[in-house]
Amino acid sequence: MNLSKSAVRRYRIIDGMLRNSRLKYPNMAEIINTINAKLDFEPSSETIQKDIANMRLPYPDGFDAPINYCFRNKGYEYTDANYSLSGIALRQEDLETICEAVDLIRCIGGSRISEQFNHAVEKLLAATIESSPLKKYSMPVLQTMIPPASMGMKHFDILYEACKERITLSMLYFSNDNRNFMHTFLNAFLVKEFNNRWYVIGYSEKHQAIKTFGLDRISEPLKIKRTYRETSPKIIESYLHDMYGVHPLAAAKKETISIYASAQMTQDFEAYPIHVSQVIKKESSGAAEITFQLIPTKELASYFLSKGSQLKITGPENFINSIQSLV
Amino acid sequence: MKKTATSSYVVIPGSNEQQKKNPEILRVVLNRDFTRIDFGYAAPFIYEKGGWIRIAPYSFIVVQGSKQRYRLKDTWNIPVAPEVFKFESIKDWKIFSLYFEPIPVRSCKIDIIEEEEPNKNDFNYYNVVLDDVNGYEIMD
Repeated sequence: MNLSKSAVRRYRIIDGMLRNSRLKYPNMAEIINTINAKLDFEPSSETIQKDIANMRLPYPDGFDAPINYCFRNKGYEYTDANYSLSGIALRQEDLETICEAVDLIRCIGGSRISEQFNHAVEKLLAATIESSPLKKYSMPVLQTMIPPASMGMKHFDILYEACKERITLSMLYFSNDNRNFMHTFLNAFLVKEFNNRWYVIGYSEKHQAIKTFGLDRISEPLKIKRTYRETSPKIIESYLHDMYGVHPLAAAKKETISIYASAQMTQDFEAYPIHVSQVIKKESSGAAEITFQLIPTKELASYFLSKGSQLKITGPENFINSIQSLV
Repeated sequence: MKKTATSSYVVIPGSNEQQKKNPEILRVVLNRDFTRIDFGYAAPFIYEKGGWIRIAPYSFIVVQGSKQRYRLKDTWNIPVAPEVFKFESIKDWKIFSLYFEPIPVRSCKIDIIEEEEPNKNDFNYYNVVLDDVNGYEIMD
């Protein structure tokens, strides 16, 4: 069957109407009107009948569409409720849900993430979005802070691939703290964002340890053919779930970290918890002892220090000592 | 692992005082099309705004034991003289690459010469040790 572009567009519209659970059993006049509204062209009833016949033809000549005329309801229907012309059975409500989720992800994902995501979503919705009224809604009604693309994001794809495919990288890096350059073979396992900064974490052969590298200071990563050094899932889990930030303090392990917060600060922690393990024991004054089950990190120390006299770290002792050495 | 004529290899030069200069040699890439040398340069504090950087177009590599000169073919992230890149502060840094004609893919010592009669501003490196040249093959 040689399909013209306009025929395919009509098929998609008919398919969308037959899958619309809110307006079931569209009749010939409704199909013609909908096509007219969407394509600015009024097909004849013969054309639509021919379209339906073509859609019913077995694959590969047609689409194996199980279209039936329901005499009781005086309209057309799919006898298989899961059928979709595209092979993906998206109903109107599915489309709405996906489009809402896409809007949300575009919002929180920033430009880099949404670029790839858009591509995947466009493919997914290609067969149906054209007939969806949702396309009209282009103005976002949800917005988060999206900073401009930062340095190092050009390496995002290769770092992501290295983590996903377990590929060792030859990588050049500049340390701002020490103002020196280095080369390392990095067995990366995680690309992580924290406070709008991106990092890659992995076993660095130069350091013989797991290290965190800011993407903004990485240059020219190259994928190397050699055996990837696996990191224990337990360690990866700890970077995923047990840290506020990305730079654990030396020899740090997961433990109970406790602070004493002023009433004002306590309200902040109540409104904006910094970790799922956060537990607040409030006093009648509104001040509170707050605990976290976390691996101490530089970022956690900096966060606490930034609160000044509103907050006092009460334990553990080794974390307090580490913070004093950082000041 | 199968090695092919078109394979590229990463070589990390052996420790050598020369390589710890500024610019510092960080990595060498060898293949049959070119020899690439990656450098890191931290703008020095002795210049008010970090100074400037460039490479002479007639720079070359010599493999010790041979008189053949492997000439500079291309650069990345560094201008060729007389153009210069001016830093804006003493905290700036730059990684750049020099692409030379391909040297043989084998263990050797090389000299990287910008000026045959260098002054303190020229990039000359001697006795750069390239070992284990087939150890780290780059994926396509």
